[in-house]
Amino acid sequence: MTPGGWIFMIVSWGAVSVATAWCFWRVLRSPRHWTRPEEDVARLHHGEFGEPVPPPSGDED
Amino acid sequence: MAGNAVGLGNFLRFPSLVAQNGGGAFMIPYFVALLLVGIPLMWVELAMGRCGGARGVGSSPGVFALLWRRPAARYAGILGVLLPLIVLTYYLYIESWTLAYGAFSLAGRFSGGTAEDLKGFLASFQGAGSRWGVSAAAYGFLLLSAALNYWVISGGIARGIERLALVGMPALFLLAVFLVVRVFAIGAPDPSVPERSVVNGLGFIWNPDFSRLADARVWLAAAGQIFFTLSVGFGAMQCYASYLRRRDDIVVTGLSTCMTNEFVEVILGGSLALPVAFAFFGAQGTREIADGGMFNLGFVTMPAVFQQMAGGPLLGGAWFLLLFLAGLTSSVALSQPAVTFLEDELGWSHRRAVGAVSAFVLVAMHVPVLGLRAGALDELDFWAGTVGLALFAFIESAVFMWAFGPSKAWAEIHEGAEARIPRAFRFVLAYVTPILLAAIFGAWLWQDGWARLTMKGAAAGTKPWLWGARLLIAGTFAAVAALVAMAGRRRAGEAP
Repeated sequence: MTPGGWIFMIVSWGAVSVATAWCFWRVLRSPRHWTRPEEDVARLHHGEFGEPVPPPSGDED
Repeated sequence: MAGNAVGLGNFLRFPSLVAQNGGGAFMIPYFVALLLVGIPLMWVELAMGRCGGARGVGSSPGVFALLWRRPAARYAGILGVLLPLIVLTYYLYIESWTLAYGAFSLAGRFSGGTAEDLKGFLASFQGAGSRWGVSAAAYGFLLLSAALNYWVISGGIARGIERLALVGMPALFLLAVFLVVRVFAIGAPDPSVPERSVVNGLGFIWNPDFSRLADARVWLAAAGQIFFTLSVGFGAMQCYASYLRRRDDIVVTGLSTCMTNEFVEVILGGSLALPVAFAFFGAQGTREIADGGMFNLGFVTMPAVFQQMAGGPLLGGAWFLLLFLAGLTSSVALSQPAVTFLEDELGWSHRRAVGAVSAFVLVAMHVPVLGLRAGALDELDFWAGTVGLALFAFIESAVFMWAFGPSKAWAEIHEGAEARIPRAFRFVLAYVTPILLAAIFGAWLWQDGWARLTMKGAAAGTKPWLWGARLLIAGTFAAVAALVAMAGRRRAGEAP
């Protein structure tokens, strides 16, 4: 393995690890992400948001 | 969603693609594609899916018709049903190999064999020398896998997947970490060839190689792997996201799914099969195994690793069975776009939709299974699992960012999100992602498209199977298009 290979690998592994850790930190510190699967599963269906949602306008904004 | 994304692509497809595309030459386009195409597309698919789900549709044709109010919109979503179906026809076969190898490992079938013996074992299992092109064992495990898939899918998307992923994914992750540590200890297995070592195997992946950056095939392969591994460009993430709520954070969920998958693929998946193959077979031998079949590398090398470990049969059994579980969550996800389309757009019952999709797969899977040794599986993987995904990713991106509108798309992605995507990514989503995809696709067509279309270099005996694979895609496309037309007429009849 060349020095360039070591640098490329370490930088890539570091970037992926830091980004993954940041995501886990965001998920773990937010109570909204601590979903309870059993509860979520029980209410899983399309259009579950109560009030009907109108179709979006297809016009360019 | 991470359970869906983490699968056979991480541990089996990624190492083979790296080997086929020159190691270090592959990783630069791979990371560019991840940053500029994969992550943005994940946000796009999740936002499109949630937007559709809130209005009662979960498949691409329905979602596209909702976001782009034009008659052609529904048809632009055909690939979102077609591609996962086609990929499922061969993914199921690879998945069944992991089940078989789990059983073989537990039974001690690999004990005492050399690395060369393991190559022969895989070839024999895949049907080398068999009259039908498939061994009885491989066919039996395939039917067992198909039955297990049917059982999980017919139980409903939620009950099956959530419970499997909650236990299986952490276990697979921990075992992979343990195996990476063990692999690093292998060093150079043959003292007479010290350059064949695990460290040099890592060098094969990571030594930067800029010589092939102008080769569009490498870029297309890298983009295709990003789509395959993240499960974007299939319509499957869109389908899952149709069950998300407005208050769910798509920004963090999407990024977490991407990065968890990348951690598993780049750090764990990249440190197992390929460095081991390099240590046992050298660079040329590794390429030959990868060229022999897109998913072969992991089945030849990992049993060799387990043989060197105390409790190898048990660990090998656990490894392949957990891979089977990862594959199962992904194959169940692959079936969902078609099942959801039949339910939402044609009003079929869940049971009828699952039955129809399962029956199709049961018949269609015989093309990659019986034509494996002639390259039918790799042909399907190329057109559906690489070219098709890049094409559909471009269509998704164009529909969401151009037809739906960049401002509304940006607002939809951030609905309910605690985190904000850097503003520069709005430009990336609107222009860089679709233009980069179009450029890769255009350059590939220019450099290699004609040779690939005309099967230049393919052995004469393999061509009937390669044509069979293409006919399967074309025939399925026509059938899905007819169903989409039916769905359009049905929706028009429902309109007030």
